[in-house]
Amino acid sequence: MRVAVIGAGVIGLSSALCIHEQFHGLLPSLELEVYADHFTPHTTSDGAAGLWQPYLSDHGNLQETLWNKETFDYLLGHLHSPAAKEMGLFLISGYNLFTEPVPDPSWKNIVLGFRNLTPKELELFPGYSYGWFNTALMLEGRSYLPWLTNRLTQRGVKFFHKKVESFQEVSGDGVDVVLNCSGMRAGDLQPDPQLQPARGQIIKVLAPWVKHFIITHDLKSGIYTSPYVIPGSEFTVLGGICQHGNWSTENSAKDHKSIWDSCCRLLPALQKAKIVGEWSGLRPARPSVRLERESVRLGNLQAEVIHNYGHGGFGITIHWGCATAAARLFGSILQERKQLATPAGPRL
Amino acid sequence: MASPKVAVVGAGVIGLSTALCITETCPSCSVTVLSDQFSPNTTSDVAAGMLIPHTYPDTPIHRQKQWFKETFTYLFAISNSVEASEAGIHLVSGWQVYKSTPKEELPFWSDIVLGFRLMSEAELQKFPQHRFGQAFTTLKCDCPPYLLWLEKRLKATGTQMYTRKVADLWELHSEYDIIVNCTGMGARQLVGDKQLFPVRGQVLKVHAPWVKHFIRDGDGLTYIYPGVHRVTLGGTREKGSWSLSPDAGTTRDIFDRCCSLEPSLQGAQDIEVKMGLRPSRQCVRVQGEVLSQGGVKLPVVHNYGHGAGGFSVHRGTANEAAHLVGECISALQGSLSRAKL
Repeated sequence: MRVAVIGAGVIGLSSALCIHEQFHGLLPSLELEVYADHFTPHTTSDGAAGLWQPYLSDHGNLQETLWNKETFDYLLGHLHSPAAKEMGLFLISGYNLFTEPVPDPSWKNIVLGFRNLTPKELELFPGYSYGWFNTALMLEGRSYLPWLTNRLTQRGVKFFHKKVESFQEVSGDGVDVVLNCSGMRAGDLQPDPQLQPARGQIIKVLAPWVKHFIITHDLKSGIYTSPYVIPGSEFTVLGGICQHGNWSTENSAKDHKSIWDSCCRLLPALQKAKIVGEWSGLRPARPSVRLERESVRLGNLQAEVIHNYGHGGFGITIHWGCATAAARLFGSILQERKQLATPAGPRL
Repeated sequence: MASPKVAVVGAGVIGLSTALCITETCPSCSVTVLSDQFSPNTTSDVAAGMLIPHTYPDTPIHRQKQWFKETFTYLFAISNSVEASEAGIHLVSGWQVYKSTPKEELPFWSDIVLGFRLMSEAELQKFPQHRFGQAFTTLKCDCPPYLLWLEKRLKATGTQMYTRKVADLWELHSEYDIIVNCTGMGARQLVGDKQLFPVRGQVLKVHAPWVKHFIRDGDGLTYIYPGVHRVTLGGTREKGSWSLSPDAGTTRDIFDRCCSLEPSLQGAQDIEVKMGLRPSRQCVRVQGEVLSQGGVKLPVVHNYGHGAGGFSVHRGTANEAAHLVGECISALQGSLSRAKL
């Protein structure tokens, strides 16, 4: 049984690991191959700050809230393991700020210690009159992706540096299942008008005195269009850009100024912070995550494709829930092909 | 008295902040700081500088609360300004956890720190050996940066600073009108205060930048305090010990206790061991005194004995000491006018 995984961001690698962990024991013939044009540290997941936090509202998408919860609980369970540091996993607390009262988010009971801000705390943030404080997790892509890669390599998973142009390209060689984790470029493999870039730009600075994340919100202009500050283990990320439909991955001077000015207004001490980098990336935005099976006829072959893309600005937040869901879809494929029942039987 | 000459003896957080308060309340004063040690070699440099008060048994609680409130307010404003990083002042959130529920669930300072509340069951799961906890956000003063920032502010006011060991306050009476005694542990020798005793603390300063929260065991012995660049792991409270040498067994023990609270510390790097003697007393001595010798009077303002709580109350006691200096000046001016009659 050969499985081709397209994409080596957090979604591709975690789905691959989850499937291998769950099925390799039952199916020793299982061979996984990861194909990607970009590997860590050049994926979208590497550029993300790594904060676990869903959007403010799940728009009734209860399934995504459950996947978020599953991811948080899974990571929390690993917090005290010796692997935590290598994974880039640690606890972080911080502030979400608003200019008006808002309903509590879908994730208020998933994170730890969720509460409203007190008047004295709001004094720290002139211009904001309402907010939340909670403890969440950081999972830094620059550490997590190499950790996933090591786990996969140990399990004998092979990696191929290749831009896949079609499902046919990877399924032709006796590959039974394709795991499509191609993120922003899923549309190149199969047109999907619902998938659009939500371009972000970030400035990396050295500001080690900042110990909290601070996310401001402008409800009119949308998520991540308002300044945010996220302290990592090596540098702090300043952001506040989310441009729908913009495919450019070039850093924009105008966006730089907007991020810098607004973050320094939020935290005056940042004026003294040293800038150590800048990056632009495309959040693979979609009204909902596409996580489903599809039978694809390619020539005279039938392949099963498991789509797992469109995680927007919450890929890290939702990744493990989606990985286990993808693994369940894989399991159902195996059931149908009776691969699990009779490993020695003829292959369909 | 046109320009009273004030000598502040001691250049730890108490000496420097008191000197600064004096320049603020008495701009006509000429202030000089004298100390045998300056940052990074003061007791203050060893301390983590966390704003979590220590309770002094013999100081009225309302006075301790006032000191803490003034200190917190002062530092809160700096943390929110462009000077925060230079001054080494930053907010930090975290947890104080107890193995058994304490008698006092709400400490006197719970309404001064930010967001104080009891920990939820879910939060306590992170601490399997502890059954009760408090979560809050407070401030931390990193040293040397904070002391260096105070020195810079002092220099800007024209304050002179000299390295000098003062063995007797009377050495200074011909050069200065008022002496401010901020000598911490040194006051035991300098003014013969036997009520002052050392409480030795050993700490580790490590590189662990993924640790973003403080964690303190309510027993006060084990704590993890993340600073700007290093995390302070503690500690010990050895009453009566004068030793400034590191103890290897203690180092191992502190590390183990802290890893038990925060397992990821196993990956900490660049461990430095530091020792300090907390200048402890049943109550902080913030008090004016007029020394007398052979008909000569020497006004002294004492500000020492802050023990484990120096950073938490430093600005409050500095304000009080500066106020006492103001009273000394008035008294001196009064007696000068009387002398002229």
